[in-house]
Amino acid sequence: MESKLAYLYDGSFEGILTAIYHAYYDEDDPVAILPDWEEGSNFLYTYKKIETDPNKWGKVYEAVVNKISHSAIKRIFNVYLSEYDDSGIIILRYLKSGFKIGSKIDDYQTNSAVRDLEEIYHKVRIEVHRFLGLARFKQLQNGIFYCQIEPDHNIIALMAPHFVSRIPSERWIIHDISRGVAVFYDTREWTIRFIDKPEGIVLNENEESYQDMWREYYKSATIQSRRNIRQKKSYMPVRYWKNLIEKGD
Amino acid sequence: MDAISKLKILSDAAKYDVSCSSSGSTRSNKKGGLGNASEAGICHSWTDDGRCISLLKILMSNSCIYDCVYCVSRISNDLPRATFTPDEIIDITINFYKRNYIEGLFLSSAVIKSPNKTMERFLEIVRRLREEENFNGYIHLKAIPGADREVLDKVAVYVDRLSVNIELPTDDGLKMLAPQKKQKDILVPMTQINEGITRYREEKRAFKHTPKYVPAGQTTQLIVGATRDSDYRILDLSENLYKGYGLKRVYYSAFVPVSTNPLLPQIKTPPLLRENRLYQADWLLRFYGFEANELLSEGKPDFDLLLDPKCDWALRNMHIFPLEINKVDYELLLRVPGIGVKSARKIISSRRFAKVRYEDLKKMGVALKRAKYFITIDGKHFGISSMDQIKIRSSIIGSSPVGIEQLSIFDVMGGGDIGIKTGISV
Ligand code: SF4
Repeated sequence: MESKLAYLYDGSFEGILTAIYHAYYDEDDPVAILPDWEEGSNFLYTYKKIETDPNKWGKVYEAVVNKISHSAIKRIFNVYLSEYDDSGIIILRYLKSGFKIGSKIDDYQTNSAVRDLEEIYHKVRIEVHRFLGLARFKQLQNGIFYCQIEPDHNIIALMAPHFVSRIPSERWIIHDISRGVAVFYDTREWTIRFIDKPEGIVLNENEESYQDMWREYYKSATIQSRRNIRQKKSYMPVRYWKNLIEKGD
Repeated sequence: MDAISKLKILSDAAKYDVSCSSSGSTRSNKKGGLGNASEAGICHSWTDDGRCISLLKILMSNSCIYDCVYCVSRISNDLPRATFTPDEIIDITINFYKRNYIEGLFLSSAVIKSPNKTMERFLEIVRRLREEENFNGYIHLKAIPGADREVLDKVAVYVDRLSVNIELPTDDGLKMLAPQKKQKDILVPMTQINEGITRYREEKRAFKHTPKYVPAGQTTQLIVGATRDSDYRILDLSENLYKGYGLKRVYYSAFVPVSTNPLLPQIKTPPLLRENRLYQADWLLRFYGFEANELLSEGKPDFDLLLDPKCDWALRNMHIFPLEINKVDYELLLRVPGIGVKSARKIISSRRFAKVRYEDLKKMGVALKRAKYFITIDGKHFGISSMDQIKIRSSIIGSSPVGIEQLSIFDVMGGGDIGIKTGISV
């Protein structure tokens, strides 16, 4: 059986853009573009390592913005953050069509690359929107508002701008504990850092009482005669419940 | 009493209120402030009955000086009473907001001491939230009828949405069930809010920094089934409120029997299906170009509960049907049962390229179960052989379990909040 070519990049967005560059200039036809920790995961693949290079990814970035659109960059960035195995190759197929068709690419709903990209993009956006509501902050002893989440996709960077405009004058942290990354905001700017799940966090003395009030409010807001857990679960899937303060049924 | 006990009493009393939307207003954050009212509206949680929690919906107080017989908070009722201080409401709102539990505050209240006193407390709360706490989250306030003009105008500058509940469809109904209220007192603040909004729009053109005045508009709510008023009276009133007072929404809530007062109808369950029919008809007024007196009249004052209002109307106007899908214009398409705004638009736009076929209609979201009786597609009719209204009626009713299907359609279009109400506050 003939082996297939798979690109390996370093896991960064810049890495993926560099891989796109090579797919064009090396005249390769990769069947997969994967982060390098996936090396060896499929014995049918021959792997080629791509070295992230600012010159190369810079050119791709410019080309996408100039020849397609700003929104195309935004879309592929979101799709990259989905962390799906096939997101890399879907981005490549989408850009190939995009460079041919130009800024109107997203109207071509009959194009399968456009549809595949759109589908993943949608999933990521929906999760971001959900977490803008479902993120719960706890105030720590030192005054910082701390939030833990475990989303399907790597979305903290997409959530950050919303909370910067929502809570601009407090220091806060949004921590994706399953990926070990967090956004830190210091009332001026936000940064992303790798950080493990903290042990023994100390809460602000008033924190518990606000949590109690919230739970009380949540309970009394239910109209018991109209209980409908199925509907609740369809809006708020059970896997998202574990970092909430309020617990229903 | 501590804040948490008050919260229990005063959120329980407020939960039956139907308006759950926090959208329609953008308030960007001022420097150093807290919050942004976001256009899309964000749900922060869902209750065990499947409703979205977006706002902290509470009463400031349930100690009422009035005695409306349909309301749990009425003075003659025996139940635990509580009143929040402004400090408590401000503290809970700010801290819930910072923890990302809520998008904002939906505050209403029973009448404490007097309408003016109650409104002045409201004013203190909203003014301090905006000015002292720099809070930019969403605020919806229920104004108390009978308060002075000045205090309402002051409040309006700070809130996103104001509503005054119309409560009952007629003055006679109020006289009987809410003797301290008059419809005039309710309409006065509505007029005032409407004028304020209009004035704001005009001034904004001239001066850049005109203070906002209820940017998300006003809404109202009325109880269905506590009096004998017909659907026609109610719908006619709604039409007036939309046209004459510029209201954004009228909410209907089925009367829930809360006492055995002989003035109240003796019913066991709230008239939810009727409430739903009114919502559907209201939708027809706002988006489908219908008028109240087309849908109902003195001679036909109530909807057929077994049919949605559009079917009901169509069956009484069989002379205009069947309509040819590939010919008629948008306004007429909207009048076909089973065709909604979205599918009508799709039909119009795809007709430009090619003729629409029967199988296309389904993909465009047309409910053929109902539509087929009223249309032809390239001259071909897919309904039953007769255009007799009685036969069609029974064929439509036979094909759908009563009410259930309609309710789920409503869930989608009405935001899923079919409210019942026990205690409304003004
Ligand atoms: S409806 Fe309002 S005014 Fe009437 S008793 Fe209830 S809270 Fe008081």
